[in-house]
Amino acid sequence: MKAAELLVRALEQQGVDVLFGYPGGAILPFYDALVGSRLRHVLVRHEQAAALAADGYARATGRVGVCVATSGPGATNLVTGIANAALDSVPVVAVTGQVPTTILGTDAFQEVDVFGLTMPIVKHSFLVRSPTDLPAVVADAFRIAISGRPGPVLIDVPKDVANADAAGLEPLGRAAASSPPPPSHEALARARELLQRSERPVAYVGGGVAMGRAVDELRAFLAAAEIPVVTTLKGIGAVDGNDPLALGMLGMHGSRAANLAVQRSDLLVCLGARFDDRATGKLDGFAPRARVIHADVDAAEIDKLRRSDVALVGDLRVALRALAVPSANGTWRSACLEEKAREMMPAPPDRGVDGPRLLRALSERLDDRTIVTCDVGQHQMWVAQHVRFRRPELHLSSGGLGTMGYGLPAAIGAQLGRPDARVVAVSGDGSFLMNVQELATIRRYALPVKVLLFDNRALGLVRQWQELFHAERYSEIDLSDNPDFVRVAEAFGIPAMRIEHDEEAPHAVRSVFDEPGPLLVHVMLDQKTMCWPLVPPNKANDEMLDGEGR
Amino acid sequence: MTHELKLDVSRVEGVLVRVLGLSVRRGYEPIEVTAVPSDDSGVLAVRMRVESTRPAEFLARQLSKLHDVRRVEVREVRP
Repeated sequence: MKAAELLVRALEQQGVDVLFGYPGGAILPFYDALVGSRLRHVLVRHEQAAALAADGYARATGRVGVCVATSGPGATNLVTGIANAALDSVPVVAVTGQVPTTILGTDAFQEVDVFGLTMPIVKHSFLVRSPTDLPAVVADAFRIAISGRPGPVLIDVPKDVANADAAGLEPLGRAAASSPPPPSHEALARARELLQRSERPVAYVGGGVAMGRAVDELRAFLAAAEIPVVTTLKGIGAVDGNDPLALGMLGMHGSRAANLAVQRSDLLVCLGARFDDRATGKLDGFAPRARVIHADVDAAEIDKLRRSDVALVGDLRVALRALAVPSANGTWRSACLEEKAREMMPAPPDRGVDGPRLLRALSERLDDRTIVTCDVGQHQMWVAQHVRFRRPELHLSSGGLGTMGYGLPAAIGAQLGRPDARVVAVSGDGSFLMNVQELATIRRYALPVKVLLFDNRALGLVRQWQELFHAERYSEIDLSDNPDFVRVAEAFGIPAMRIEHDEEAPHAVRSVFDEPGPLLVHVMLDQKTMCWPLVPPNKANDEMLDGEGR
Repeated sequence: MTHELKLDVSRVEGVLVRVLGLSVRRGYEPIEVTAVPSDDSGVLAVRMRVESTRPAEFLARQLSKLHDVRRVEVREVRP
């Protein structure tokens, strides 16, 4: 048995069923060993899509996503996807082929130091020098990827190592996540006391709740404490979007109710979130009168950007169980709910389809098996604002890295991980062309992925910033020479339709939900779409613009 | 500020680059570094002086997260 076969068996042993990749010279031994294995390899059409599909698979299933590429350009193409997984704490294992150790460091054909290149964006990485290391490396990679705060792990395998004899070696058993320690009793007691003494508490929920498998505990806590709750982009769905006390997303494109509640609060209960600049706006103006309880599995997040009054480092589930006590005062709750009731839909556009209202119509039909993936831009923020998600794994959005091109590969990963799910990729005309080649993957594997492509023939969010903050000096945002997306989809063998008016929206939504196979809906928007509200740069979150009276 | 840190790290491929790279990325400039293999093989004792406007503790917490870092100690902090 060659080491490459041992590697394949080790991946099988870790419970891998699907992996996303693209072959090439240095990874040939691995692809040879794949023949006849239990692993289902999905051939993407660009390695970046392999990494992003692995990310989408991981978020949708809660399992480790695996991607594979060859050395050199294959490896560098993975880099954006690995960074995406790093910034959103997604468990991904990336396997790369490498040139033989005998010529490593000689600028050999397709040699690139991917071990060095990815060091800032991996949770850990391995350069495998000997077959004897492989069993432990693979088990460690999976354990590290899923333990504590999850993240990506790279395994770089030189070709001569992959081809070496591995007789007598066996893969190790399936890695289990090491369980995080509970927060200290003393800190929990102080947190409970702060919560019970507070008058205007707000729960601020991030992606860590879902990653820490603490959604049930979060909901029990919210039911007991009855406090208003806001989420980050990645926290969406951890709280049921239909919960009356859910005020929506906070931050730059957050809801007015969410941002005002946070700004007026006297206690922020931060749960698996990290005071990211898109959430806080001007940091020293963020929740200026609030004390902070910060619960996170990652000790390095405590006090990194905002000093906490009580830190609950460790298992979020334990923290949430301890905090599940009645707390909020009714007046504060009512004030927050009144603000929420005042929320208004943005004014409809002058022409074209009204994107936000189309998403509201989509939201009405969501169920527990419909996954929505996003690209990056105005449409992504509209999804966050207008679609009500019941579970976090139903909303896949590139938060930390903001990767245009995420939506389509993530949908592929989600669909392969959850064959029972209906997967809808909401995309924009800018983002879509960044990984449009993956329509071929949808076709090849007959995936029933739906694409809702919002087309304003511009880079909408960049255009919006240039209009508002650069004196309408529009620079390189015009995409009015976009291809005919319906014909593009059809050329890939994907049925497609176009809608240009609101009256056609109900039919489009019905098609998205009822068509059994793949479908692309090309949605024509006004070129001057705007995404409201918006907190301008270097402003506090209560200084949002709402598009009125500009 | 200058901070002095002492680390025990596993003696594995790339470990010093990992430690120094993370330090620079997080805003701590190494100005003096020594790494000495300990007698019982497998551990490298690293002493590092870094300059930064940020507190030493923040760097120590980030370094502690590296898989190959076994122990981090903040030795002294000077203005």
